[in-house]
Amino acid sequence: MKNAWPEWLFVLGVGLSLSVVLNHHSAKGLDLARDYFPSGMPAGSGRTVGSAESSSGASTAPTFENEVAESIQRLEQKGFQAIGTDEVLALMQDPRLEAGMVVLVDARNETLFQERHIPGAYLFDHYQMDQYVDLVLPMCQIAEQVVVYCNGGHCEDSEFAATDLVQLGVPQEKLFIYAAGMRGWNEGGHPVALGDRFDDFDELRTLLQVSPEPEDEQP
Amino acid sequence: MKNIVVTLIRVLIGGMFVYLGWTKTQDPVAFLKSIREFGVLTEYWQMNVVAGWLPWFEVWCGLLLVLGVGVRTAAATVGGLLLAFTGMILWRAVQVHAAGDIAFCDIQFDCGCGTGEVVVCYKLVQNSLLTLGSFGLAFIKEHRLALWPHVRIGKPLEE
Repeated sequence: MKNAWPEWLFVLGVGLSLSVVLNHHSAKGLDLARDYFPSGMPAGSGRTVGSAESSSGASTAPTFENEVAESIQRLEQKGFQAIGTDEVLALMQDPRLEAGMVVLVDARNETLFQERHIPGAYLFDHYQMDQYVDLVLPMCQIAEQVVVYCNGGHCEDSEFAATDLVQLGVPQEKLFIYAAGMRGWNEGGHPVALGDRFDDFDELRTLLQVSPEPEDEQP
Repeated sequence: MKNIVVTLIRVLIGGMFVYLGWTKTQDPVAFLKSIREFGVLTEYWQMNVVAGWLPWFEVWCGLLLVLGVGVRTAAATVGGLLLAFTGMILWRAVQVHAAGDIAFCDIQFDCGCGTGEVVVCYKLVQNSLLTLGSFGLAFIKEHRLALWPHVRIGKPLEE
């Protein structure tokens, strides 16, 4: 490949330049200067075992309950308060939720939020924070209690979102992380809302009315 | 016949790079998380650069192969990328294998390749074949059905 340098320059130079420009201008592009994993946890630490959980036939694969327990331990080490499904369910019946004194924050992405979310939750995707912060931050500042969740288990996005909120001035004492997250919520068969947030309270009332009480299921 | 096979291989590898690269550009956060899972890059900006730029670069290289522009260099670049990807997947698979009592070919994880969770053995074989194909393309001097197979400045070189 004698005298091939123009071709190398073209392939590498133009390719890399285009990559830089397209990432910069893409709506989904990454901000190179932003630390998307602000927990201070070194990349890959503890992740090798985590990766084994998704390996089929992995006899050491942790159960979801173990994952949640590990998450709670990690959250407490970082000074966050973890709450469980029963407490979130109790908040669903709490009039403070509709009054905005309790705020639920869904830290997953928009696609997952649209598919299903806990009724009344605000979308706050940590990775696209700029799109949501203007709406969610004032709500969190007013609220007495803010509950953040993501998919649950090893999902760390709720921690990252909570860290964002703390950095933006929301007192950490107000913040609670629902460690079981959407997976734990789904497994409990609790009411979910679809699509955007706005009609959730109507949906919630309907869902709670039609949801059978555990006693009713007894013969 | 040889030309048809070479062209098919070129379009197949290029098409795969375009498709998989494009998939990653549509969800760079998922790719970023996959990169973090490997634990090789330690600085956040390194992960951001790879997750932000590499998918577009893959699309670019794939397009060059499909269209037949600077074929030998594009193929060598794709081969180099595949070699690096394969090494990373192998390295992580060895780590998972060492961490748990799992048969090597039972290991599955999301390699960040744009295809979701994959069986590692299958992925390694697939990548090895693609790497061989890419370097093979880089060693072939003449490429048919190519728009601009040799990017040159000035007078064409005498062969």
